[in-house]
Amino acid sequence: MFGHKRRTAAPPETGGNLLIDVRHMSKIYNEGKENEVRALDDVSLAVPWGEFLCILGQSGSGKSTLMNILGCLDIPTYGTYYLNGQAVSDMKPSVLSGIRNREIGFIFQGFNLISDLTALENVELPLIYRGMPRAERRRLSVAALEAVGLGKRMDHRPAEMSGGQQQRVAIARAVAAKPPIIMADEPTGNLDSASGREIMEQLSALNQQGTSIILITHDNHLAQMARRIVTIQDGRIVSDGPGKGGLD
Amino acid sequence: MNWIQTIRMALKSIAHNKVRTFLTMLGIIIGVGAVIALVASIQGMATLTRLQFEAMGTNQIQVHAWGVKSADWKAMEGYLDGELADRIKGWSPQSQYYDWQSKGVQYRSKTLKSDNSYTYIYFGNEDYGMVTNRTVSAGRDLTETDCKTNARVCVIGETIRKYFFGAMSPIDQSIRIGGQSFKIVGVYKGKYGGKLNSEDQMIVLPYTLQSQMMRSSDSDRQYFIQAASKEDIQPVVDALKDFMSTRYDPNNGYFDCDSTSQYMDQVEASSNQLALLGGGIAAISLLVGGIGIMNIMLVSVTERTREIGIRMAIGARRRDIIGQFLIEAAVVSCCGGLIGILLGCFGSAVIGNLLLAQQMNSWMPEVEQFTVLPSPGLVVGAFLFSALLGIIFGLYPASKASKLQPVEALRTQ
Repeated sequence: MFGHKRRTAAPPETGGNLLIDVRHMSKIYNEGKENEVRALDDVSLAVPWGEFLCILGQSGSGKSTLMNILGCLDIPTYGTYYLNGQAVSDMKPSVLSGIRNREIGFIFQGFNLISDLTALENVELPLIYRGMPRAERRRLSVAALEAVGLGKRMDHRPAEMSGGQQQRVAIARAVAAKPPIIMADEPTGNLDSASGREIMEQLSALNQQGTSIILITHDNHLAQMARRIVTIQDGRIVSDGPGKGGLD
Repeated sequence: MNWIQTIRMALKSIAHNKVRTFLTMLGIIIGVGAVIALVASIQGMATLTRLQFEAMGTNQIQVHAWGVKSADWKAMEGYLDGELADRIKGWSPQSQYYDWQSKGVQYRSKTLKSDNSYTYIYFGNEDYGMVTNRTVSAGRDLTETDCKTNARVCVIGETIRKYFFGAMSPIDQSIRIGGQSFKIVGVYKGKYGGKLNSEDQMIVLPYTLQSQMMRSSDSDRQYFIQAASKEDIQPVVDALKDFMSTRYDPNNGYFDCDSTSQYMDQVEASSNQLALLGGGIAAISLLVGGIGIMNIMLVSVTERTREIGIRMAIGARRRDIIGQFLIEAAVVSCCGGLIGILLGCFGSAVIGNLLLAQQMNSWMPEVEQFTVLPSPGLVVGAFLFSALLGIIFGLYPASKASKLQPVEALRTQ
């Protein structure tokens, strides 16, 4: 599926109870050719459980590539990636699907809801792929939608909802099965500031309940929501420090 | 992910694009409809033909001959009653005359002339009814004694009975045939369920009267023989031909026998070939329908690349995506198949009725209730074939969809 050749170092001792343990990871497109692109260049990153981490970078910095790999949507060219103790850099696509399904909840800038399905059906979808029985799936999905304040809009289709509401459906979809990690890629990018603030508050609340959050953004101000900010530039991590843990 | 869920999702996505889905289905609908209508009509006509043959008598062997001496006829009859007795149920002469002098048939002052429709006069024996598939509705058949004693008796057909007697009983009444008087001993049931027709405008006389009554030579005769079973037909035919081969002069006579079962087999074989040919040609349109499904599924995969990416991101595996698109294709083709089956049933009934109406004018015994409908096997077969077609032609688009890379699929707008 992923056509790039991979070289994996001998598995290192995994560092205790790290949620994410990335070592010397590179993602190189067209390696060895004239148009070679090093989207990620020797990145190492350790994230403990319960972190609220922001990956901050400008467009083209490699932050989306990093997020794709951390989200098991893509695999690195070099290096190792342990997610929750599992070496995902070596896994087959079908296994990665299972990891994404169980371990990660995604929130995208463009919401990425399926337009033919109602809010409830969108939230149920990952649970369907997991093979969860109907009654349980329904219960969890309704609870998740109610938690984001959309208990009365469960039968609406995405087109019938505002951007903020759509993003809240996406949050409900991401958290319905209570995955250990939420990955949010510019979650407020398509929203007005009020809706954006609401979304960020919900992420913050989730983090306080113990979910690890990885926020990807180019917005320095928004990044201050996180407790830790990793700045990436030209495929390399250039700074790694604390955030304010909240907005002004 | 379970099947019911996948099917529900497929239905949802199909419902989203109703016109397009219907147009895609149309190929399958027309294909399945054409296959069913064609094959069912051809099979229906074959059934009709078989019914016609069966009405003439089952396992019937017919002897046509001329220039055979009376003594040799006697020898053949002896052979039938002797060595071939186990292989046959009965035999009867079946000499047919219709140009019955000019006097017609008379009862009291009423006359039935052979102006527009002929009255058929047959000379037969006690087995006549059996070998020609007729049963008496009143009175009795001819008997061996009638023939031995040259009794002046007759059995009349339903049309004759109605013409002369109406509600009256014809039994023991006398009618005049060619100026001679005959006592009616029985009536044959109508072959068309009571409708008046030329087939039942007939009278059977003991065959022993033939030489007395007819000026024609006794050397020209027909026989009908009923074989004991289908398997006995050919042996009897062969044995008779062999037995008679030395008993007539081929330069000055003729002897042949054959059976309707041969024709029936031929009709069956040729209609099967025809059904195969017609069905095959119609199946090509089904194939075109299948290609239509593939085409639209490929478009759908392209259009829904982003959706596929989303599904993969939240945990759909390759086989979930394959299943989704395969089931969509199968649902489209199965729905098309079902509608096609209805169309085919309707079409075959219409075509069947047209053909039937054409045939009704000629020779159509006891088939008023006949409707051409596809056999259950044909319907099930056509349905399974259309489902299979959907799956086969859905396979490529589905596999194409499942091979998308989530990152790239998500990037598509």
